[in-house]
Amino acid sequence: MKREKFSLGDVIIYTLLTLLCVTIVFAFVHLASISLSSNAVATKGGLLLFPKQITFDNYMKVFKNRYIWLGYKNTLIRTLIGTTLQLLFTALGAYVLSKRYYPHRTFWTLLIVFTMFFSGGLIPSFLLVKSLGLLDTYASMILPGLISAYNLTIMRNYFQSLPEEIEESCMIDGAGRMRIFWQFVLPLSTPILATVALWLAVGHWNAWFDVLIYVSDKDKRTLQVVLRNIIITGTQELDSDASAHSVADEMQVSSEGLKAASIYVATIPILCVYPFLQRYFVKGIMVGSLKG
Amino acid sequence: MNRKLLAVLLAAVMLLGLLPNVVAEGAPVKITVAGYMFGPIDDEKDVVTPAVEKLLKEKHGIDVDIEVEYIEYANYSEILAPRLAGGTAPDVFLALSSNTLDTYYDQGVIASWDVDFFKENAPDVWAFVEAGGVNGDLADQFPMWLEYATKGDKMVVVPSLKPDGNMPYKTLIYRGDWLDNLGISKEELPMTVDEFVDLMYSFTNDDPDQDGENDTYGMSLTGMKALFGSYGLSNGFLGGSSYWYEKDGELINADVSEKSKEVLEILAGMYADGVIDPEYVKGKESADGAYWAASAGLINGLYGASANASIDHFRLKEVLGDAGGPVAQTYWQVNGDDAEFVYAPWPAGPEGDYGWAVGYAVAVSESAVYNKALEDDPEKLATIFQILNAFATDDELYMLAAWGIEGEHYTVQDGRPVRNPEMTNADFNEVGVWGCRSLYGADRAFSELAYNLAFYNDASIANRLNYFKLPQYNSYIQNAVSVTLPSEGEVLAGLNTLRDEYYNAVISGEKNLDADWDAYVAEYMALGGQKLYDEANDWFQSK
Repeated sequence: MKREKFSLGDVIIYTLLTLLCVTIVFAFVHLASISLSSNAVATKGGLLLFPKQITFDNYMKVFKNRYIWLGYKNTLIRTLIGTTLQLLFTALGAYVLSKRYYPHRTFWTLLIVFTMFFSGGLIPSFLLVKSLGLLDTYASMILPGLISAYNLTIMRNYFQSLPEEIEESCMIDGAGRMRIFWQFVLPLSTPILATVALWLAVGHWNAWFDVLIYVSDKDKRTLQVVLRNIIITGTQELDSDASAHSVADEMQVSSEGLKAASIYVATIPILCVYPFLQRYFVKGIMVGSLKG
Repeated sequence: MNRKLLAVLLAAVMLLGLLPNVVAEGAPVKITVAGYMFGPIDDEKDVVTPAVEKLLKEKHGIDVDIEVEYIEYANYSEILAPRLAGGTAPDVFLALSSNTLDTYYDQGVIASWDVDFFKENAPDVWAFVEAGGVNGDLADQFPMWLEYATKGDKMVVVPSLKPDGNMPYKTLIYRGDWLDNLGISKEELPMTVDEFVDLMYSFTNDDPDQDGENDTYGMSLTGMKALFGSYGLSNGFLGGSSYWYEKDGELINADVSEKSKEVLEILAGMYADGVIDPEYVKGKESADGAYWAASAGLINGLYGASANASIDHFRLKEVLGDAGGPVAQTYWQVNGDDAEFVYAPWPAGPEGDYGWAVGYAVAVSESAVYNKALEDDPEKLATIFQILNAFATDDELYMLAAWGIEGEHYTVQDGRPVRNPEMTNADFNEVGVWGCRSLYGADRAFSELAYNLAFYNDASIANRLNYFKLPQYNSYIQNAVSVTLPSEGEVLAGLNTLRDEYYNAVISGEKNLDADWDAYVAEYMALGGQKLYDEANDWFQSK
C-alpha cells in the first residue's frame, strides 16, 4: 500500500473544519469565562477568552435554585424513559417494515412517511393529548413523539441491509421471531441503535415547547424550561401601546454571568454523552444510508 | 379469622376513600389565575398566597383556594391558545393587548357579564373608577374606561385606570463623555432636527471616543424614532404599529404620511453617510437575550444617542438614595462609576413637534379577562369580583398580596414601604408576591393606598413628573385613535411588514424615495390601508 498523501483538497477541508471547530469551541470558552467573571466584566460584552475577577457566585446561585435540580430530575426521567421507549418501539416498527414479505408493506410505510409532511397542528395535538388524559404527566412529553417517522425509516433501511440468510439459519436452528429480533437483529444493529438513541436523547434533553404547552405543574418543568425562564426574563418590552410600565419598569433581570452559568450547568451533561457514542454515531449513519 | 379481618380492613379503606368527596361539599372555591409573572411560584416557599386566602376567609367571608399558574410571558398567547381551545385555560388570565381582547371576545373564549352584576359584587371598585380614582383626577376618563370595559351592553374586562398611564415615559440619552470630548456643554444640546442631525454626524466623524479610529455611529433605531417624533409622529417602524394623527379634521396614518417621507429622506442621507448603526435592522437596541431597556450600543460606546429606556431606567443614585436605575447601573459598571450620561431635550421639527409616544390612562393590556366557562358558574365569577372589591377596600390584604410580609419582603422607612433589595422580581414571585395581581386589578388595586404607593407617593414617579416639566423633555404624542379598528386584526400585521420592508429599502438606499413613494402608498392603501383609513375617520366623525 502506498503512503497516503495530503492533497490540496485535504488541506482546504482540514483548514475549514478546524476553523469551524474553533468557532464552536470559542462559544463555550467565552461562556465559561463569562460565567466565572464578575458581573461588571460580563455586562461589558465583547469577546472574553479568560475570566476576569474570578468569582463562583453565579454557580452558587444556580446550584441553590431548587428548580434547576427539579428540572434536572424531570429531564433525566424524560430522557431515560423516553429514549428507551422510543428506541424500543421504533426498532419494533422498523423491523416489521423491513421484511419484504410483510403484507402491504409499501402502504404502511407510506402511511408513516405521510406524517413527516403533514401534522395535525398545535391545537389538535393539544386536544388529543388532553382527551387521552395526559396533561401534566411525563407521558405527554414522551408518547406524542414515541415513533418518529424519520428515525423509523433510517432504522428500517439498516435492518434491510442485514443478510436474510442469518435469520433463515436461526429459524432452522429453531429460533422464533422474537428470539431472532432480540438475540440477532438488535445486537447486530448497535451502530444504528446508538445513533438514533443519541438523537432521541439530545432531543429530549433540549425539548421545552411541549412542556410549556402540556405541563402546567410547576414541579414537572424540565431543565430547559427553567433555563429559558432564567435567560429570557426581561428581554421583552411590555406592550408599548398601553401604560404597562409599572412593575416591569425597574425589573431586575438575571445577570449575564448567571445566564452563562445556567447554560453551562444545563449543557455539560449531555455534552459528556457524545464522546462515548461518537464511534457508533459516524458509522451508524453511513451504514444506514448504504441501502436505500 | 384473618380473612374476616382483611375484609373489614378493605371495607374500611373503601369507606375512607369516599371521605374526601364528603368533605369536598363545603370546600373552598378553587380559582386558577395566570397573571403577569417574572417566574413561577414555589409552592414550598409560598407564604403569601395562603395568607391572602386566610385573610379573605376571616375578614371577608370569602372561602377560596387560589392557584397561581405561571405562564411564561414571552410565549403567553402561544401557550394559552391550545389551552383555550382545549378548555383547560385558567379562570383568570391576561389579554395582552386590546387586539387580543377583541380576538378572544370574537372567538367566544372569554366571559361577559352585565354591568349591574359587576356593580353588585364590586361596588367599591365601581365607585372608585366612576369617581375618577384618587381625588377625582381621572374623572374625565370614565367614559373611556366604560368604552374599553364593554362590548355592547356587557362588560368583558375591568380595564386599568392609572394617572401614570398617559404620562411620558421614554427619555433621550446622550453619552456624556462623547459630548465632553466634542466640547459640547449641556446648554448647547440640540434643540432642533438640524442640530440633532449635526450632532449625530459629529458622533460619527469627530472621533467622540478619542481612540483615533473611525468606529462610532450617531444613533440606531430609537434615534430614528426621535426624528419621527420631531414631526409629531409615532411611527411603528420597525416592527410596531403607527399612531394616527389629526390634521384639519382628518385622521392620517403615520405610515403613509408625507411627514414620514420627510423623515425618511433625512434618514437615508444619514445612513448613506454612515451615521446610523447599520445593525439597526435587528430592531431592538439591546443585545440578544439582554434586558430590553439596556441599549447595548450606547452603553458600549458604539453610538452616542438612544431613546430606548425611560427616566426610571436611567435614574440617578441621589433620587432614591439607592444604586440608581437598572440601566444606569449597567452604564456605570461598563463605563466607570463616574461616567455620565446626559438627559437630552427632544429635537423639535419644523412645526415645533417633538417627543415619543405615550399611552392612555385607560388600558386593558395588563388587565385580567375571565374564562368563558365562568358564565355557567356565575357564583364563582361573583366571588372573583368580590375578591377584587376586597382588595380595593382592605389595605392589609392589598399590602400582603402586592408587597408581601413586612420585615421579610419589605420594610417601612419614613412611612413608605421599601422592597427588600436583596430580592429580584422572580424571587418575589417565588414567595407569592404579585401572584394575585390579576385578582386585585392590573398592577395595583382600585384603592387610594394602592394609587398612593404606585403613583402619588412614589419617589421615582415624582422624579419623572419633575423631569417631564422641563421644556422639550415632555414627550407627548398620543394616538388619535383610542379604539381598536375593526379591520386591524386582519390587515395591520401585513401593512406593518410592507412598511418595514419599504422603509428599510429606502433608508439603505435600495429604493429611491421620490420615485417609489407613490407606488408604496398605493400598495399600502390597496392592502388594507384604505379600509383602516375609512374606519378611523368614520370613528372620528362619530365621536
